[in-house]
Amino acid sequence: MIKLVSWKTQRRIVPYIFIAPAMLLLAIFTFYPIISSIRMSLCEWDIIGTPRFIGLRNYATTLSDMTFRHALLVTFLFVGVTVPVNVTLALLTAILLNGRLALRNLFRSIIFFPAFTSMVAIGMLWKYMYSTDYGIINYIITLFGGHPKDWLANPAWAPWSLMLTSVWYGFGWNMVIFLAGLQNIPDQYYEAAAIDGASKWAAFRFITLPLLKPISLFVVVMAVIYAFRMFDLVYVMTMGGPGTSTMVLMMYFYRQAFIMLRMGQGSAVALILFVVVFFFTVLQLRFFKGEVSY
Amino acid sequence: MKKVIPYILAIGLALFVLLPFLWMFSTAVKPLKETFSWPPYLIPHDWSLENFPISVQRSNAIRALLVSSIYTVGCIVLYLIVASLAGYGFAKYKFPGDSILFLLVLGTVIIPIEVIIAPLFMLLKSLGWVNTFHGMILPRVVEPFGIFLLRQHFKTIPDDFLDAARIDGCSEFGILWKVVLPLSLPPLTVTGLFMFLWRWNELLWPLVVGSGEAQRTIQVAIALFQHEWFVEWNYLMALCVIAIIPILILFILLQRYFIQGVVMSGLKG
Repeated sequence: MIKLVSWKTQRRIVPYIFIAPAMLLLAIFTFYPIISSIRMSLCEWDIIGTPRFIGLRNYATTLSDMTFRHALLVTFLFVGVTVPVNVTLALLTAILLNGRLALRNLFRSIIFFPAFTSMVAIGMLWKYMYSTDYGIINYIITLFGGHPKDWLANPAWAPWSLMLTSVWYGFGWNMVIFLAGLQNIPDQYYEAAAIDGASKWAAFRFITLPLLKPISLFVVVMAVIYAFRMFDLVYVMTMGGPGTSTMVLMMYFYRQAFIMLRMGQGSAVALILFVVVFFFTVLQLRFFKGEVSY
Repeated sequence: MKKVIPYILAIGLALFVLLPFLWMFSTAVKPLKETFSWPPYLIPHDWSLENFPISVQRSNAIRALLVSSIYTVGCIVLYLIVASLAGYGFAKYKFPGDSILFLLVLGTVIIPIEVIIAPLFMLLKSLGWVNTFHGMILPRVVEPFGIFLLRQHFKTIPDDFLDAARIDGCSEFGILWKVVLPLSLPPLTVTGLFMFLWRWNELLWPLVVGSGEAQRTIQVAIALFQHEWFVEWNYLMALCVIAIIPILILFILLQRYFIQGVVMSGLKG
């Protein structure tokens, strides 16, 4: 009897012991910093000295800073261009490599691989390939009769160069998710459509696309989040330059918080970025809600 | 003709992805003067492997690789322990507050590192933990991914197994260690693998809390290489190859788990 009681008490405490390390780490290194991030954003604080409460002034300074507004625009450009290009390319590649093709697993592996390599190394590699005077890309362009361009040195070109690298890096990841989605569609649907005399395009339009919708929604939402948070490539390839032509929000945040050491304003920028991303995520989920019903 | 088109497209895409890597590897074995040659060429005229030891020495990359390894392995080991315990607690017990606490864990998915990195940095600074391993590692071993993944898997293990072990006198921790974990190698592999990929490749966090000379990871060393040296592309590409090789090896050995992890993030996320 005594044994039973102690066993029962033990069972009551044991689960909390199991989850304690994770909850403790979360409390110290996630929840506490969230609160202090909000608090810091209301203070003027450059690393040394003590924080001084200044209300919402950090937010006002940020929102009226021309560089911030520019960074917002650059970020929207990145999101608006890379997400559709990345997702479309990923979907088309998935469809291509879902077909009967010799060596298709090899093709998949090759296209899948870059997404796991370090963005730092990839950024460096592309920086070298983009170089104006001895870059391989300019050489290939001249082979086809084009004129060399200063890909990363020209403010008009630099954002597009970064976007190309970012799509190159990321579309294989989304391709794999789409492939999984395509493999979940039963063959009978296509066979039935073929018996009914549907064309390949009709099968794609009325079977593949609708059934891929839930997965596409997920892919798009995640791609938007990642695009908003782009940092590594920019840091390695352009540092936000030339001028501020590639100054994405994360780069602006890093500059304010860790180069200029304005911790208070940095926290405000990070929270603004968080709210923007959150807003767009909810917007997309709302927009597609009801359409996803499979 | 219709049969050829898919192959042309597939080969084109594969080359688009592959050629930059070939360019990286070829540059890494070229002598410096060949990296500036016009026209550039893929096959080095005078190749050698000596760029690797030279670049490693110059940028203190041995130290950086060591730091990266300790950081990454530390995160993986701690995370596997923390996530197994938490995943098991959430999967196999009912207790007051369990669903709220689990939601709280999952909810951190939406908190990206940049939102908390400034206060975290200040926290580490006040503890004197900047440029230390525990300072780098401890804040980075909580990710909902593995906790969720392992919980889903643990739920599929029948309670009869656990009760049988209990009757044999096994403690609750003993059950997790001796019965449950040996049955969970695939999800543990996926969890560990993705932790490896995230931490090995990470830039922002180690840049902020470990940019002191002795505490640089290989990624930070590469990122700062260009600021400290006139850019010698052959040495830089040699470093990049070194940073990518471990991933390439794991990719070849464990590709199944790479795909599983990505699909899991897609289908269940």
